[in-house]
Amino acid sequence: MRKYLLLISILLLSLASLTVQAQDSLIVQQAPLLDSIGCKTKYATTIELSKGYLSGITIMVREADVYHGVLFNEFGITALEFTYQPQTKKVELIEVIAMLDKWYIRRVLKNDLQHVMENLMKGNPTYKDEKYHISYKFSVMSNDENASIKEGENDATEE
Amino acid sequence: MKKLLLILVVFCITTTTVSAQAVSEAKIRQQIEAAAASMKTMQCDFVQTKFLRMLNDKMVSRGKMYYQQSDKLRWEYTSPYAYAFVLNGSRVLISKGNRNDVINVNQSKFFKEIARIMMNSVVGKALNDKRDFKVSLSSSATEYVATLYPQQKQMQQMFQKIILHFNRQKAMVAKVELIEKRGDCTVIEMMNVKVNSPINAKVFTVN
Repeated sequence: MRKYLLLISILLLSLASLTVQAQDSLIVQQAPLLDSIGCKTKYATTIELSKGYLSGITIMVREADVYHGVLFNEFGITALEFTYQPQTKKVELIEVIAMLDKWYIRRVLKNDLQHVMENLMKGNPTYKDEKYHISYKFSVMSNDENASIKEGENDATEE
Repeated sequence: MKKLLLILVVFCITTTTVSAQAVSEAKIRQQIEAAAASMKTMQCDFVQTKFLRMLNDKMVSRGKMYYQQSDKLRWEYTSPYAYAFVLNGSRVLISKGNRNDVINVNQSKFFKEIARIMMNSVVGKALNDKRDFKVSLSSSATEYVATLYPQQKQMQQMFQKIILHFNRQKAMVAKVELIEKRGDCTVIEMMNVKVNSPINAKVFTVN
């Protein structure tokens, strides 16, 4: 009987550790946010809301005390500028595009960005605000994505 | 008497300069308007550089632009991300990755304005749009420069000014600078411009 119990315990322990490993591999999907001063990371960013979505590029720079981030859309218009203090886990919104610059939106953004930053530091590119149904995704852009295209190729001119 | 003569001379010089400027501004506007009117289609490659003041950094994107008179525009980024904005009449397609969103601009006043201003800026019609912008014009040996100051509240909230650089010979937009309120700036340079070459209709498909 004791042997049985021991076997069951070992089995349960193995299963539990397997589950933890599986969870970890699900969460860690990209390299964690770089922590050396001056380091810069570019993220393809999507913020999905129930009525639509925002997308663009976020550039994150590690400064002496804070991470400094700027999110702009594909056309280059700055939508958000913020800092994140990793010690205090505090987010400061420096600039919010006029159409989102309402106190209640700022409050949600500030709170969500704090979670986004915590997740990015662990290598998790996503965060979901369950209360307001907002999904954030910050995927690291590789350097290859900065490769240029050859101009003049593949145009749609009809011969 | 001498004083009176001096005032008269200064007055004459001033009015001559003003009228010369006015004539040349009118001439520039006319030339740009004529080029825009004769432009049935246009396609080009573009390089967009976003300068971030606070991070002292920049981001370069590249893409292609197609325009067909009078209400078709495809603005497509090919690197480092794939993103397309297609305007066809009253419908807009925004395509990113596997996601395609179609918007009826008539249902969104803001989108309607953005689409109209984009079209007008691409071909240079924005110069004569007094409702949207206050325009100041200048010229050099190689280009005309139009500085557009937004008059609409929503545009004022985003941009300090928009600077359009026109190729002097062709009177066509060659470079656009978007200066944001807080000093960030986006520069779009057009290259390999083809005017009035037939464009495959599929480019403007909105589904």
